[in-house]
Amino acid sequence: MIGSLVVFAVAVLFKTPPEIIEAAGRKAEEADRGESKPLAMRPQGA
Amino acid sequence: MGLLIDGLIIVFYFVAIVTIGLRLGRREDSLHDFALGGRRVPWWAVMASIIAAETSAATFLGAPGEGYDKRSLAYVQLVFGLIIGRVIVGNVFLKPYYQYKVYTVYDYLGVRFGPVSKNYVSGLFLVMRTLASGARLFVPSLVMVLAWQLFVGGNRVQFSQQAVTSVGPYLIAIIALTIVTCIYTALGGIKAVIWTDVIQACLMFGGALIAAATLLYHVGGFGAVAREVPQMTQLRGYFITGFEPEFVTKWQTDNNLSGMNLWEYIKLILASEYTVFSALIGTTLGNMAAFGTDQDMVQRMLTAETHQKARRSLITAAFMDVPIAAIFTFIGILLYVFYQQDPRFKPTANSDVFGSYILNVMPVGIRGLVLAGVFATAMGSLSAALNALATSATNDWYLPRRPGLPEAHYVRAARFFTLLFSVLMIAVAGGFAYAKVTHPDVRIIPVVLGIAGFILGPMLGVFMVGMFTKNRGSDRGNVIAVTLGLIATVVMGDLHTSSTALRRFWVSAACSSAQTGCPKSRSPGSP
Repeated sequence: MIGSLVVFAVAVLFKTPPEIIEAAGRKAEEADRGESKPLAMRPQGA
Repeated sequence: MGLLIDGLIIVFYFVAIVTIGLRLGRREDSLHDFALGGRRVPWWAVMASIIAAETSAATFLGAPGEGYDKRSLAYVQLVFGLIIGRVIVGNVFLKPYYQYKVYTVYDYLGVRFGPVSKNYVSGLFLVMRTLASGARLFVPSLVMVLAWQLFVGGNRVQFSQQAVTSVGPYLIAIIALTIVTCIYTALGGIKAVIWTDVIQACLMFGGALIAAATLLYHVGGFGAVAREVPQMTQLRGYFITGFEPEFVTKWQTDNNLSGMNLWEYIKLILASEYTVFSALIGTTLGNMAAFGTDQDMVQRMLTAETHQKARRSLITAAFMDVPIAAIFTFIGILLYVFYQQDPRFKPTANSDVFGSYILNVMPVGIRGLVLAGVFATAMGSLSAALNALATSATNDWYLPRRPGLPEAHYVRAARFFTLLFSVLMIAVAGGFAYAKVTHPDVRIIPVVLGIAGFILGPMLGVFMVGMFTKNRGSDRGNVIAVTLGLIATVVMGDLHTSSTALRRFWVSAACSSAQTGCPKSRSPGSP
């Protein structure tokens, strides 16, 4: 499981773009309101 | 006549499982039904399905070999780490999956980081799961070939991995098992998988209980066990810390040490098998990877109505693994006692002790039931893998490139992918059988068996960044990190050596099912 630690240590150095975080918030709200369709079939897609 | 009865029991099992799978999985009109069962599956059925999926035929036959080899139930203490790992997954990973109503766990990476992370990890899953589950088909196909030889020839058979010397019989067995499983998986979707898993879990556990009872009868009860394996009357028959004097002495001898310091104790912990430290470190991480990031395992959890019910299924299944691991390991101890008393059918390899007993010693009828249990475990794992692969291929790859089509179209696509991955698995399993027959020491064997362990680790790393941080990780960073993680795993793993190939075969295969985790020293092959 050394791979998981290496990936975590490297990936955590990069910052998530703010627009991705905002979009994730919107997708959570949409998922809460709408019926359960695949993400690619929802209005804004994945 | 006796062999005919056993054969009929097995044929009845195959017919019944397909019929039940097809009936219970009717009316799959959308991907929501096909992949998630409409999120209406009861938690206890999900729990049974987890147990069936995590227990492969290699576990069924290989775990008793561990009990036989160690003559201790210490293998069961690995379940401690298994429980911890699943509690973490149940409390951290499952909620976001339900929050975004994902169809695959890789959808989560798409939302959290972007499409590149999703595609990279989903692609790794497709490759890893096809290879790992294809290679796992070797064990039940071996059992099927030997059972066929027994039923047709009527003579006792030698149970060993080298017993079959041509590829043809393996191929027939692999194709038969895969076709039967593919039929109900493709037509019935996840509901068929889960409900047949419930039956298969009962058959698997029932088969193990019957085998233990038969063995106890044959050896003369618990008194005989206590006489032949005295450590079963002591604590160390159940629990090993890794610091027992004989382990420390052996470590010093193997490493030419005159004494022990802190660093040597740390290395001893990291190298120990089946100790409480293995349980806490190795199986915790291994189970986080298997049950948090491997669609093969997570898919059934997503069929529960809420994340709380999914969590209940997951954690209850972990506690259920305690008696399951105990019974399989205890069967190994009983087999040790049995072969001490009657060595006629004792095989050369410890890993073959249960298979030889089933085929050569078990009474008529019971043998048929237990053999059906072996095939049930194999089909439970295979159907889960096929359904997860088809769902991931459809949801993660096909649907984003062909959006806007009717729901029924995507169900047909998922069925096509189930068939496609069945063919690929037959090819992998056939190639694996060919390698085992013609070049048993070839380097690719441990690599294929350990592929899940090599890839699941880096996959877990990405999910950990997503789950444990709020604004760290990006598409670009994840590609770099996962690539480095894969390189690190290859370099630090056993990919550069081949000498341990045969020795590791059974345990690696058993652990690839993730059921009872894997000792750290064999972690490249786990889970």
